[in-house]
Amino acid sequence: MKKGKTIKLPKEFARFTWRNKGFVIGLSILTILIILAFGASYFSPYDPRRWNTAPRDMPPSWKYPLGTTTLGQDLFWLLTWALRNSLAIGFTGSLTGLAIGALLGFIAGYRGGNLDRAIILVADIFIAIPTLMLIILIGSIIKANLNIGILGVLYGILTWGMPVRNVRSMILSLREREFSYIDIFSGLSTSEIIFRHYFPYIFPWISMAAINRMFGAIGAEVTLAIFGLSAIDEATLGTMLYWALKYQALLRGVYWWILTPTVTLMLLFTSLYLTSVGLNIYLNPRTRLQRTIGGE
Amino acid sequence: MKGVYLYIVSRLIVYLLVIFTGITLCFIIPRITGASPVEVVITRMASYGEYYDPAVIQGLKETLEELYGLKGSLWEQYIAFLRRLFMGDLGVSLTEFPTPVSALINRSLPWTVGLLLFTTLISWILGNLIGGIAGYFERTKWSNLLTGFSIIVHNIPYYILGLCLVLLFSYFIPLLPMMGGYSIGVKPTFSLEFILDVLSHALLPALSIITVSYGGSFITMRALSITTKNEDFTRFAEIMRLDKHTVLYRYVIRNALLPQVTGLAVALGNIFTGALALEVVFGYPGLGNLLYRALINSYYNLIMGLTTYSIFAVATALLILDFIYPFIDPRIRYR
Amino acid sequence: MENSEITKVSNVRAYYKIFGGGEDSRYVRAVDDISFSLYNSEILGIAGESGCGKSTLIKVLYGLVDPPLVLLNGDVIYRIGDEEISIRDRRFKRKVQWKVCSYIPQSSMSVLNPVMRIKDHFFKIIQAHFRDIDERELYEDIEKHVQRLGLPVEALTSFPHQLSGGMRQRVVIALATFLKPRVILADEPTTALDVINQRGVLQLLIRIQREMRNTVVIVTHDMGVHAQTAQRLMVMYAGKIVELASTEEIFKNSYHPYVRILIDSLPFIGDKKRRPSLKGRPPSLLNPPSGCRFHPRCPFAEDACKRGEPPLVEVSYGHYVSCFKWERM
Repeated sequence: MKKGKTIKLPKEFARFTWRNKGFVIGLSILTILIILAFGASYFSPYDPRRWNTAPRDMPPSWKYPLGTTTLGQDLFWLLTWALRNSLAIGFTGSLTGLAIGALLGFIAGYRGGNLDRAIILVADIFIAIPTLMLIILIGSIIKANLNIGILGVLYGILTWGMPVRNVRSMILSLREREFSYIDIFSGLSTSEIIFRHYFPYIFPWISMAAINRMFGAIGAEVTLAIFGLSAIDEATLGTMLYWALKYQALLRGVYWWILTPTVTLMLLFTSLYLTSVGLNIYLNPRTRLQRTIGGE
Repeated sequence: MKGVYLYIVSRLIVYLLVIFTGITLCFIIPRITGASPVEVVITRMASYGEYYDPAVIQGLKETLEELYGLKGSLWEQYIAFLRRLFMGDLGVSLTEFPTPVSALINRSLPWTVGLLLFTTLISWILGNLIGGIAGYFERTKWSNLLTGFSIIVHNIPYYILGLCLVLLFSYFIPLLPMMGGYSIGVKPTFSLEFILDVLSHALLPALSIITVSYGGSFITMRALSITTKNEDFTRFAEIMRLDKHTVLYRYVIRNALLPQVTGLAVALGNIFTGALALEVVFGYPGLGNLLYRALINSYYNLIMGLTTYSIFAVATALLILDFIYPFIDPRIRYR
Repeated sequence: MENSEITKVSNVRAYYKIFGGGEDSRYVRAVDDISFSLYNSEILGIAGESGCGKSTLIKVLYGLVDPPLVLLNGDVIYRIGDEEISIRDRRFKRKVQWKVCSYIPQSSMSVLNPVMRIKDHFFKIIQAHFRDIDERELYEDIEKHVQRLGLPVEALTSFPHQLSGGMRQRVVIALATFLKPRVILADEPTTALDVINQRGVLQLLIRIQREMRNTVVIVTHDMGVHAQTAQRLMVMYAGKIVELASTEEIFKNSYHPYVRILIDSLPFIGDKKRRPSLKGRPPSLLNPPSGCRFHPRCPFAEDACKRGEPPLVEVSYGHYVSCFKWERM
């Protein structure tokens, strides 16, 4: 029941952005990175997998804005490809695990009983096991076959534990709320209940979780790369680091090679975080209410 | 106190299940991927260019299979695997024959444990304390500054921050050593000189972990502190005009610590693996570097041993936290 | 003097500031120009529907005016001995709160610290209000105090979750009476309890008032509670006082239409007739109706009621009404 009026959309958005400068900063940086990743990379004159397409070890200059690597690659264009692949891994890993976890969590919360208890137990076990070690184990054995797609999916498969718990607790609390009983008593079908009533509550959380899980996925790829287990022939933020470390970039003074992926990763993570926090504030029903006049 | 016993028993059961599942996964994964670690070694040897008599290769294969526990049917292997584990036998390392893997691990273990224990404790305590206070005084300038700082650092993987610190304090400003656990050529002794040397080498890695973990603890604790500050019982304490520091410490922080302990438990796995990667970047002589060497050279037994060991280590740390929890939360301790 | 005035409330306007469009912040007019007095040694009941402002009034009485609540106008002055101290005074919080006047908020189920034992709650009060006393020396006094309130001594060493709801409510009352305040403000002290515990708590409050000879203010929408406890009764509607008189007068001889209908709607044992009730819903405090706040629902409303706000007049000794048409009731 809406009382009072809501302020016109642009004005509300303007005030929101003023209040949440962090969100704006984060979103802008993120946008730039995404444009680099999915826009600029298509214009790259170099194939990132090939070496010696540019003179080696050149410090940053007008011709090579971020310098070049010891393997003879232009860092700037390499970065665009690396961003693209890393983000792809991020999406894949995040969404895969989220899909599995949300589905299982939903079943567990909705059905309850022994099925619920079983699912929770398995989820807890998977949360407790340091899954990255398992990925390392897998990676050490099938070294040659780890590509970008598999990395993402692998990460997703092993990290479904947390979403299960979160979705389950949300479903449980929703079920106890009064409108659920009203729905059931008034004869709404299960799918109608799910889509019309539960979804508006779960959806904000799912969007948030999707973004938050990207940290883990991208971070996992970089960690694997440090151990030499990522897709080292492809260009990702992790493999950039791997090659730079392997060729002792720092000790040899080729600092821009290390600096680029490091700073990019920091920017990526920080902007992702700020964006996700801002999104959370925007979607959170409580703070949403405070933004509109009315209510009692 | 009956509730406590039930709690302890249930946590123990989960602990055993976690270890059991993890170890089984460790066992299954190499065997279902189709690639054989024996083949890896053989291929590597062939790449050195020498010619080996087929009979020799066959003999080598059999020895390797025995060494890697790949003999016999899957079930036989599994039982043998479990039995050896139970005895603490993680197999023997191939190149450092006959050093058992467990000895190798024990050599590197103190470095990792020392680093992790120290940094996790400090960052957790600092992060929660300062985060709690910052949450309570949420609109002050210093609170916002600290929050901004933590927002930036908390999401960075340890090794990334480590690289930044190295760039700053080892490369551009040559202040601290770049890598290693102690200076090259120095013999480990219990002298003050050696200890200082170790500390100077451990400073940057430790700082990396402490900063990031602090940031993480700070942010969640601050949010919790704000929520707890608005709870009915805190409001009532303020109504009763209790001392400000009573409200801050015994009401807000004390209550907000409970979910933080749980949060630490959940993060343990990531802290552990993150520290391992950090060690690689810094050349720090702990388990991480051991793993790195093992991976480069395909030391199958060592990899298996390390993986099994880390599952065990993380699960045990979790169990310890589980045991500590009732002491902090009276609702678990008493019925 | 036995029935001297202890608190004087004058023209208090306490609004909640709501951030709307930024420029035009709106106010929820929870307490709109209220004046009355509290006397020593009495039980005053404050009645009214949800959202009529009674909880806010209690907060103001305690001096608990934190944003978004603002005290736009008026004052509350306590008389302690020879001294008079207002809630606007900086020393008020330190000198009056919990010592001279205590406040039992709503939802007393969850006001105890889950990780602190009950005895520590008392210790903390002593620590905060009496710097140089070792709290442990007063343990016996604490024991006696809680026993007089019907609690077993074991409750002191327990944690809140180990006690039942009724016991927790008693603990809260024990905490509120520990420093022997002259005024006790209770906001819905019985709402979350079952009927048996309700009776126990009410008896307890009555007994406390009788023994300590202090002032107890009970805020609740439950008229049954007021019938059992209140000596004087104040009825609020939409942020204003509509009637204030002795309980007997309110129940038997009220002048305000709202109060009349309210009383008439209460069932009693043996009642078989259908009870009349009010039509409509209480008005929004954001945009209250013009003139008399009750006029949209009042069966006796006239033009005058729409145009002007009726003043609170004393129609007989100690009986105040705010209605233009009180004479015709």
